[in-house]
Amino acid sequence: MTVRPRGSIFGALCVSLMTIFVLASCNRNRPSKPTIAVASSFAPAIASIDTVETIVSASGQLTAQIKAGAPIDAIIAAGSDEIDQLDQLGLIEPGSRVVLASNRLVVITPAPRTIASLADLKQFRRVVLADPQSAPLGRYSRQALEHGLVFDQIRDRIIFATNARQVVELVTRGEADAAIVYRSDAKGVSVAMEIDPNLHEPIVYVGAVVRNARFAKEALALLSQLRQNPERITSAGLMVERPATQSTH
Amino acid sequence: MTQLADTTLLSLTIATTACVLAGVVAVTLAYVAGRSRRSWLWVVESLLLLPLVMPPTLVGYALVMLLGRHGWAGSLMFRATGETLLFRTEAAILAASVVAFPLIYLPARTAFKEVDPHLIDEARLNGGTGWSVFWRVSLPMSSRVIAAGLTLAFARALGEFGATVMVFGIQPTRLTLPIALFRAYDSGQPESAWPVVVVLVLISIALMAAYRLWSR
Repeated sequence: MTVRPRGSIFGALCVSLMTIFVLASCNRNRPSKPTIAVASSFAPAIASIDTVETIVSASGQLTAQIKAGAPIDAIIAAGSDEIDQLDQLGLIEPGSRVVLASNRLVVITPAPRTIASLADLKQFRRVVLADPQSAPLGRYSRQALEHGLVFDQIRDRIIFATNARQVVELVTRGEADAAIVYRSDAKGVSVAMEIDPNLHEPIVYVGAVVRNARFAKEALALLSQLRQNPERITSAGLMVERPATQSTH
Repeated sequence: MTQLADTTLLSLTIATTACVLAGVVAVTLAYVAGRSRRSWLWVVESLLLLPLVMPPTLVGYALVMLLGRHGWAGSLMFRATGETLLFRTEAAILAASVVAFPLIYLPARTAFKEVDPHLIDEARLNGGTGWSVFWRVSLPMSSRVIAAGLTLAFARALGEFGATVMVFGIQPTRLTLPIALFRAYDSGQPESAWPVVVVLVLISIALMAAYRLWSR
């Protein structure tokens, strides 16, 4: 009998596809502890807690992942808008929403210098902001710049980074001349100016448990543990929200 | 709409410039390397072909390390001019040229090799010198293959994302087509990418048609 190469190639293809499927189904992760999606600027506050798995990214990406059905038990976002979006889609466990901390914006530069107002950003060749479309930091930065009508004047000098960490990194390495970041992230760079918090919506870190989460109880416990240990928040450079401003609605 | 026009124009400009740059270097080097056995040429050749097998993000990383403020070339340029190439259009052109280079070089090298040596000898006997033989015999005889290579290189340059996003960044007023597409996806508004998708598909179909025409 003659060997038919076409048939054997087809057979090999089938076998390898089956192998891939079998391996893929074996490899499905069954986590033993809750998975928390954390905005990158909040990550230092949660870093030492090892009873949870954390996914650290820009809040916009995290919400997109939850919308897409990723196995996430709770989220700590750098803005209330993100949680509102999820809530409107029915993806938040009712009553689980808590405000954990707040933050401020600063202008950073690679070498020490001081600027008097945001309009002075016009002096810089390259200004890095977080992308307003994916990171709340970008949204706040843009609001502050639009308030003084500076945004359109420096539009051509703006580079968008996809999250808060990358913004700091570009200034630390000296590739950009200035950037707007959270005060808590301004480490290893010089702060040229603190931005008036009245120029943008309040920067609050809001935690919430995802609807029908596998580890809903554990996730809720973690959120209240964070509320009861303000030193965790302050040592990460964030500010503890006063009970009076807890409700964002 | 004007944003889409700007994006398309910038992408086409970057890809065209990159193609011309890579094309000139690739064709010249392919011709020289085909006629010489110097070992340093072999090293240069291998180095320039590396992007073919390297992930684009590695190309981008290498370029950032080289051109950045503390890089070997970047620090020299910063001392001389007060800025670096990063985030400038030139950086995007460089990234696109580097990845497009092998796609012109490899076919050009083969095409030059396949030119009938008798024709070259004939041209020399009739008084042709090195470069006039190149212009009048080798290049015209390889032109279709080189054109096909240039078409693929243009497509690769136009689609370059990984290295470009690292050296050029995401600039709200200066997006390339692939970066605009990624940004739309990344911001959770994939439907806003549709116009970009349509433009990219149309350009791709045109390029495929051109490639089939040249390589017929």
